[in-house]
Amino acid sequence: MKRIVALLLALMMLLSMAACGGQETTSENGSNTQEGGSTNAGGETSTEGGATEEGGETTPAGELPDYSTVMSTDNQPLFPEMVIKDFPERPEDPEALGEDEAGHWYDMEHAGWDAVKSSNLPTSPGDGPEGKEIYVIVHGDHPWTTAYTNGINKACETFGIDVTVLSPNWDVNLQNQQIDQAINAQPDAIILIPVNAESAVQQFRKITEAGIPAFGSNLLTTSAAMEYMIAWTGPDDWGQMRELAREMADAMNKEGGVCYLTHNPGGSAYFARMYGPRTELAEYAPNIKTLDFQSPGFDAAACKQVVSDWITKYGDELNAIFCADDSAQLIGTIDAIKEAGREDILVYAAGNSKTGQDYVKAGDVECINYQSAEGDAAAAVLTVAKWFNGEEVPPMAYMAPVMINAENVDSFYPCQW
Amino acid sequence: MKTKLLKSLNQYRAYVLVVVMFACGVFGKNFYTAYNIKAILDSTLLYAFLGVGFTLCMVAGHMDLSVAAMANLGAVLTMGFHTFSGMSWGPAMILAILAATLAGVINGVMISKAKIHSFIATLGMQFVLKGVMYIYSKGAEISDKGDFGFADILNKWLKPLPITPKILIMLVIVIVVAVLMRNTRFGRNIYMIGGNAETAWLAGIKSSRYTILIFAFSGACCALGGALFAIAQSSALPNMGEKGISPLLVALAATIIGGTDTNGGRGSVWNTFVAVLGLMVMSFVLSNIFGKFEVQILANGLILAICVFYETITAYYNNKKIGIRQPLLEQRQKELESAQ
Repeated sequence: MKRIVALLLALMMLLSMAACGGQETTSENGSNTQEGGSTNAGGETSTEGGATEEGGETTPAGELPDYSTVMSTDNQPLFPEMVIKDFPERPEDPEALGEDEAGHWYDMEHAGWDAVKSSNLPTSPGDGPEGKEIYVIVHGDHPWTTAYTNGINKACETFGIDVTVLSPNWDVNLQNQQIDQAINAQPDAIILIPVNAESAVQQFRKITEAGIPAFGSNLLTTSAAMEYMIAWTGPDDWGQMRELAREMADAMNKEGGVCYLTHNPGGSAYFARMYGPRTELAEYAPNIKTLDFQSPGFDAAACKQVVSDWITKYGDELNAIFCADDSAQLIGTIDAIKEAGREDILVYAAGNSKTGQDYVKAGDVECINYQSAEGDAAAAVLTVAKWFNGEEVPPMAYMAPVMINAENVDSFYPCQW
Repeated sequence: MKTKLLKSLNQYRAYVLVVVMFACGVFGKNFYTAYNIKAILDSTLLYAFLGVGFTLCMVAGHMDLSVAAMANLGAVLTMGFHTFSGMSWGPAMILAILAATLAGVINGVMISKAKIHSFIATLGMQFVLKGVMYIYSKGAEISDKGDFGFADILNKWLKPLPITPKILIMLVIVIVVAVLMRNTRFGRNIYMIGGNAETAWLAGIKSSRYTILIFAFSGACCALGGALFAIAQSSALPNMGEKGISPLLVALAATIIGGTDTNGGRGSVWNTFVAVLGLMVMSFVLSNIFGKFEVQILANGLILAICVFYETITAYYNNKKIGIRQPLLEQRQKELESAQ
């Protein structure tokens, strides 16, 4: 029995290898790609759809459909305004600077500043997005991801792109498998939100070496990963936190004490959402003191306990709390503040969930930042569509920061997630 | 005939899983390509190493819940020694494996000398190792800083075979351990300790020494798997497996599906590898057809539940048979006594 099964198995593997091994496949965008190998360096591009190739550069195939009128669930334009940031000069030795100095975090905040694009990057087919097939691999399931997927579907529908969305449930091993699966399907492009910033390097490298154009979305990776993607789009976490911090400083008259509930230690959001505001305040409002920062995670009860302890310990010295999340962390914070009768404490939070918006509307929270999940997705698809069309796309583009406060909160309903 | 077929199917269930799932590929898109088969084999890397460690311990009648943490330790330390301390890959891997071996020895001593249940001892070790890794890496991901040389060697596709050097290393380890377990006194003694500790003691086997050795080997094996996995993907993270499908659970499922007895004394490292392969083929097939990880988790759980259910039913009926024979034996004994 064992031998028969083993023989059957070997036979099936041999047959499949014989049938498909080393076979060349041609992707629809016209780039000739060998399985697992690299794309043709010559960058042969199709001239279908009116695109022409002159001196190695492709010209746009035509106008993209009008996308400016497409709206997201929260009645905001689906395709957000994008910003191309100028990188300031890098300090000679960022590590030598103090943690409260912006330069210390330069490589993290301005990841990609020194990225040199790989010479293996595929060239645009220049024949427009219509009928193209793309894969989108997200990082994991979450209400935010559901909204992001909605955005992907809406944006792809706008440009007539067929899309397959895969989710690895936050598992890097599973994400690697899905990347292999996507490469095996030979789509016209892959959009990837990596689970981890560092492992993204090999992931983007693998996609690019398979001759498939790779696009990064949402999670800001490292310069090394930027090398292997055509373009990256996403939120400017550091920039938004800086703006939120300035709002907070103005409300505090640039004086008083702040405590921070941080994101999970080690992740990019941990640094952006704590050191972003801290370094900004050090310059913009140096009289504001950081009293403490804690990482109780995303459990409302644990957050409530931490905030209650702060209120007891710091008393009137505590004037504001900055939360890295506007769901569980805000629930715990507001509960503790109300229980202690300290409604004078100002609360600011990162995020854009219904919980956060409801708190802003109720006047419990002063300000949160708008971070459209659907817009994030749409920005990535628009970049891909422009690239298919032969248009030049910036290597990195950030969503313009927008703040939500009591004055404008009503215009952001119904919430995306 | 029916029972015999069912028995055979159960005995070779890991192989059946591979064949059935591979056949299901006809419903997928572009499933039977050399690239896909290579990708499936590549995805077995970490789980196969964990499966070897887990199976060895389970055959000896123990449960090593620290296998995933050991692999993580191997990954984080190898990457850390290389990136932070500037060591070359060889010494970095050796030191990381030695550290995990030491943790395995501590596991073994706690279980065999301090008589702490392996479930508790290894669960505790898992948390200790997590703490150590978080402190060492400051909770952040460690990369190889663009040093892709070794990663490229490990990931190189050895055409026309659908295989990479990292999988060759893994296959060599699995085969060597399988031969050791099957054909050497060392291996047979492990089966005896797990099957019947009293008999093993009467046979003069020093079970404490074996327990320490097994856990040390399990630690080393997992750390090697973790190190290779980290080098191949150019990064290591202290909380790998905390989200998504835990590598520990995949190793456990593969060990059970591979036919290892949860009470010890029976099992095969090779069958565990085949079960890992089966689970990975299933993962690729389901992902290809449905594109949803939820279906994969469901299928993983269902297959594991069916295997455990079958084992339980079989054990129940075996016990029942023994129960039926007992009165017959007693009756016969009485008859003999009265005849005397």
